[in-house]
Amino acid sequence: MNSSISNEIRKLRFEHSEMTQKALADAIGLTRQTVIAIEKGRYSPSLEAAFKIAEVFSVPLEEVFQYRIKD
Amino acid sequence: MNLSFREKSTWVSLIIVTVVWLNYFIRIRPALFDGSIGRLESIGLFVGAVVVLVVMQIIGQIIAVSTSRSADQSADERDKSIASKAGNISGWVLSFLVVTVGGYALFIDVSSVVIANWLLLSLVLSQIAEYALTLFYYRRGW
Repeated sequence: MNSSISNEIRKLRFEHSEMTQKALADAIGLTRQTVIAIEKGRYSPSLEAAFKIAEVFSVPLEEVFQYRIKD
Repeated sequence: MNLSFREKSTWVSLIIVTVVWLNYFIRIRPALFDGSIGRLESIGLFVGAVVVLVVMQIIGQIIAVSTSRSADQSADERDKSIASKAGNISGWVLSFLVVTVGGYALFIDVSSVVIANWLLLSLVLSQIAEYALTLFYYRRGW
């Protein structure tokens, strides 16, 4: 089952000096595989992790994650 | 395929547990139904399986650690969540099987060797279920 939450993490990483998944993972205290799973929509991070990701990119949470209501 | 240390470790455990206990239960098969294997023989096979299991796990986990760059990382929220989900479901599997074995033992007159091996089989199956679910959640999410 895929999450109804989408994200722009891959795009934001690219825009921030092509940050690697490992660098982002280290910055927020998760593993690289978890960052990969988040980007692919296979895992929805905790609220704390989501805020940390937004903080790393210095953008509001809504620019990182978008919630879609399924029909 | 990009496997985390925990995925590799789980694959190692799944393969070893399946191989060791499959070999054990093939040998002990008569004891599961009619107790035709004696207590001492059963104990011997059981101890042998445990020793092999421990040795193979040690070797397998050393290999998993040595081939993983992230082996020293502590479990993150996703690792813990997957472990919790898989453990919860495998607990239900174990409960169901143990209750089934218990019910069987209440109505059928069987030896303790037979009951012990059915309970062991229940534990092994629930453990295999936990490893399989863990790997499924790592690959497919939920």
